[in-house]
Amino acid sequence: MKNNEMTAPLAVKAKKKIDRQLLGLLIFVIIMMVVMSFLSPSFLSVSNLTNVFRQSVFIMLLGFGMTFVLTTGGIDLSVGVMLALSGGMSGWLLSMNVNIVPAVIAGILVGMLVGAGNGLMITKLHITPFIATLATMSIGRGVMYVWTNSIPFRNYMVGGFRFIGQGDIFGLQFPIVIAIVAFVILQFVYRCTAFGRHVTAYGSNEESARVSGINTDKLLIKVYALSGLMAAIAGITLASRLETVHPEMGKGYELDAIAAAIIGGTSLSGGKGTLIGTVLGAFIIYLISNALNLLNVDPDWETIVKGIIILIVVAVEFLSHRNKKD
Amino acid sequence: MKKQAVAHTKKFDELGILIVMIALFVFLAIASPFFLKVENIQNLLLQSVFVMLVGFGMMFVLTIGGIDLSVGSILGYSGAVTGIIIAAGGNVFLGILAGLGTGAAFGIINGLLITQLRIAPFLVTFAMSSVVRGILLLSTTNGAVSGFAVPEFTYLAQGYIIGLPIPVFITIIVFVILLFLFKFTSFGRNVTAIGSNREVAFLSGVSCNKITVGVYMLSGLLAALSGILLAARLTAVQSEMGGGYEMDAIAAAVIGGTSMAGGKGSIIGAIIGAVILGMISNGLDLLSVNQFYRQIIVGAIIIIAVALERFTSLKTERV
Amino acid sequence: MGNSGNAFIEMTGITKRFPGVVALDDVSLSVSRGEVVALVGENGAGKSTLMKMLSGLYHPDEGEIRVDGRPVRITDPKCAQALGISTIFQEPSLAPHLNAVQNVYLGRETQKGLIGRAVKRLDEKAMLEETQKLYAKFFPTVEDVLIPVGQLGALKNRVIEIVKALSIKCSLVIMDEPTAALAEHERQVLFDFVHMLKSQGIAVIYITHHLRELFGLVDRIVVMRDGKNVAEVGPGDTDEGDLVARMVGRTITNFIVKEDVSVGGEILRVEHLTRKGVIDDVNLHVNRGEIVGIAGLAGAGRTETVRAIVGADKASGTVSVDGKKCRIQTPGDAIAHGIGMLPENRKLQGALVEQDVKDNITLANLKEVLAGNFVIRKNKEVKTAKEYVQRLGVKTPTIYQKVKSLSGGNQQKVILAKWLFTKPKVLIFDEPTQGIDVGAKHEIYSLIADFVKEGGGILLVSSELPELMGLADRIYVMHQGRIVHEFTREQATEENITLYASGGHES
Repeated sequence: MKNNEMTAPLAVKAKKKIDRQLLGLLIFVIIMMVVMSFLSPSFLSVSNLTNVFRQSVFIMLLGFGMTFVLTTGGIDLSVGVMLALSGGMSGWLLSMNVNIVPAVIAGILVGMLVGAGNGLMITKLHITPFIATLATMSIGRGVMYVWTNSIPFRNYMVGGFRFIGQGDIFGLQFPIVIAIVAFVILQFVYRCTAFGRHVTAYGSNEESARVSGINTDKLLIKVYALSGLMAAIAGITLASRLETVHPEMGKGYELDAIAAAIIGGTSLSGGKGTLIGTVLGAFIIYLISNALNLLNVDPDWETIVKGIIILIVVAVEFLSHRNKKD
Repeated sequence: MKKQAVAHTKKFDELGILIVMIALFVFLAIASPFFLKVENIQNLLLQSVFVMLVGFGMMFVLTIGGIDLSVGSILGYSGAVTGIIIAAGGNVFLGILAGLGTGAAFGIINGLLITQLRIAPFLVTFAMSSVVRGILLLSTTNGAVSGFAVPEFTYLAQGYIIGLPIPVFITIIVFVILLFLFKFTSFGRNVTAIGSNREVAFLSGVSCNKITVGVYMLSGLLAALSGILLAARLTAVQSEMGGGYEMDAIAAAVIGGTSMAGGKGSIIGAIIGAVILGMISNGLDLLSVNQFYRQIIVGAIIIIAVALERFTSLKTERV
Repeated sequence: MGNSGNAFIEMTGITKRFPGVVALDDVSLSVSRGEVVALVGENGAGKSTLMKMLSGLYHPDEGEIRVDGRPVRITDPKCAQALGISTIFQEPSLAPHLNAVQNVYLGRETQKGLIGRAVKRLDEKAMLEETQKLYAKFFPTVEDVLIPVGQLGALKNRVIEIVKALSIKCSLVIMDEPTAALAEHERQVLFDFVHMLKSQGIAVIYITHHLRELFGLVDRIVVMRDGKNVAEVGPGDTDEGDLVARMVGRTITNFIVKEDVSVGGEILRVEHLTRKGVIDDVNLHVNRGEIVGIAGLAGAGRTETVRAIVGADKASGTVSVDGKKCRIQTPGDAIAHGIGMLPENRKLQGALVEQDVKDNITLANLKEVLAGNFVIRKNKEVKTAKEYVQRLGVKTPTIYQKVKSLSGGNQQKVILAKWLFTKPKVLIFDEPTQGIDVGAKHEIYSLIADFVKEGGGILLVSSELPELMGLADRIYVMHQGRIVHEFTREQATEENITLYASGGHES
């Protein structure tokens, strides 16, 4: 049954399988674009699509971190809160006339420290990722309210800071540039470094990583810190874009980030993830709401459609897997 | 002698968190003269039961190794369904039945999607929470659902039976039924078995799919019950009603010693968990501390409770 | 004997305590370069604990480990590797999503600088070439190094683990039950391999339950019991019976009991059982009072066949019990028709290890202890559990003990109790004695004998030919998803079963 002659094409097949899933998503996007271009002339314009992409940047950045976390078989429900805490820290420091560089660095540090805290709870206290990050989410949100006293931070915009969320380079909006740079770096980290390899191995079989001499505690702490870092970058960018930090900033983003990663083909059970998929996933989420918006559909439909899309994508993946097995 | 040791460790899980609850109780009784007043205790219980009911369902779901993120939305929408029917002049009884049916139906859909399409419960119920919340938003586009505050219905929330607010009374009855269901029936036993190891249960002839669907239905049903009582209390259903309840319910169950990994649950624990959550809110009110601190304290208690549970179970595992 | 000057590893006075138990009590072990030492003992004797100290997973409370005469502290697996110690673990320890190359190099990937030395990237090409070289050296036939190992079979996984262990420049290889998932002829490959290591001056510590393997393979046998050294013998000075006696501390006379049972009418018949790509037109039958074996290599479709019979996997074909066709779609249906199956993997499929003995025993036939069809009658349940614990001689303090705290043999007895309580007509065993120590094995065999004496039928899947040939009245041999031959008890020899199992009859 398993002859050696068969192995070479099999190897190729294994590689193609991932591509096929991305291909499916791409086809979905293209069909949607074609259909929409008939229904709404403004949909297929460069400005509209760039706009959609820019909107999706924040979820995308969170989704990148989430992809690493999910690949280890974990989950991070605190990304929305880390986003708010980091954005809040930078905004708050700026409003106290702190220089922009330390303000941004402090924001980033907050995200990474909270993320590392998640990692510590998970590895040292043996709390499951879901509960640990749920608790962080609860605490972090409480801190946001206490800290802001329910009054959003405002009046912190300075020229340099404005550039982060609103500037552009060669006509490309700066948040998009941030997302592209983050993607390139993380794609390299995920695919081509020992760290990325260890992340996959840990999610695939924890024991295997452990007996291979990988310091798994350190690895997980790094992964959750990375998720915090991405949340911080998103948060600071968003703070610059919105010019205000609301205590509720980023609420619900964690689920969107998870959705983006899952739609893109990252597995909830670990061992398998793709960053390009996450890019597409985040883009699709916003593309749908954009389309509904242009079609003048009641915005209330958005949540319904989003839910159904997630179910369809995951169900299709399951069904295609089952067909292959039979 | 060994037998005693076993029974002892079995009780210990809930004992730890019971002590936390009592300590909190004593602290509040000393810190605030109003705390022990009958009205306040009634109020505290009344505040706790809505999360408690949802927490009961969540306990079953967690014990089977799943999770249900859709309970908040189901709670909101079921309350709305009941409200809409009563507001339209429908029979109160019929309205309640329709509300409960709605919750159960969404629960069944959750269960079917999970068992038939083998999608992770996290995703199914997350998507379902989006869908149901969307439907609720659509049915409240012209403002909150209201006009259903007929006396027969609001009596559900405002009446008293033997000195207990009716929602508390109902919760006690539900608790007794569920405790029996969990501890003394084949359903409860099979839920634990599936959560412990689905493959073993399946190979031992347990109808895993049926039981799983049943559990999600139960969760939907309890969320609906909570939603209907809440609607009767608030006399209006906002589009956001029940938002965040899923997290409180999970917190209540987990604080009470239910394991996220499945196979281990406690209904009494869920009660204690919900009461602790209620006491935190109540205490902050009484001590006129900002409610903002509630989330911080809840988060900290979750970490402590779970870390303690992990610690004790790790210790026994080594032996 | 152990204190020769050129010992590579010397462990002296090792003691390890876990809360409530002393796992190792003043244990010593030494191994020289080019020496193959066997470590034998019942489960729980402390073999694995001792080895985990060499691979850096546990640390001794007392005692000393010397490598090449120098005292060392082996803090973690990485440290063990650096000292030249590599381990082939008993439990599969590969990451299924990664391919062979990635697994072999996991944790010590070859890297090259991307931007100076600061940023390093994986050197995939170098690792691939190196892995292929290793493969070519040891196992010229395995080529699929780029497929996720989860998609490869058990043998290939084991091979990859071995390659992984050897790719570390090592002076000592620890093999913990390396032949567990392997068939007879595959084991031979592994033995050749051990000889080769020896000739290269590499030390080997070899742990196994298959005592037969040791003769002709090892230089020295160290026997452990209850966390202590109890004997150290040369393979020439002992035999299987002697070793077993030392391991269990008493003499076990008759290994496999085959009692004369009169074979009655047909009880189970399986016809045209087919699952595409896995099993193909399987026909078999079992009579009353009969033990029927299924032999075959790993991956031949034996487990898949029995899973299909009880409805655990979907398959076409018919299953008849007592001459009547049954509609079996789930294991629940199978139980209702009097068929029970004890699955292959005890921990993953057999018992609810987190639950107590009582819950496990009644799980598959809960309806028997119900009042009405919903409510559990506690008294009856407790009585039942106690009755079966006593009948099968399960060693447990109470019926409220969690199953995970029992030994492997007692866990297996709890699982057997669960199935006996379903009052089955046919019991199917899939590798019932894998990883079980000698004493418990003996007891399981006699329970099997009791069952057929009372008129039941047994279908027995086993990779251990002596076990099959000792117990079975008839043996079916499977190869590539088909039954290729049927032997009577008298016809069956290890040679001809192996011939059919490996497809040799076709050429």
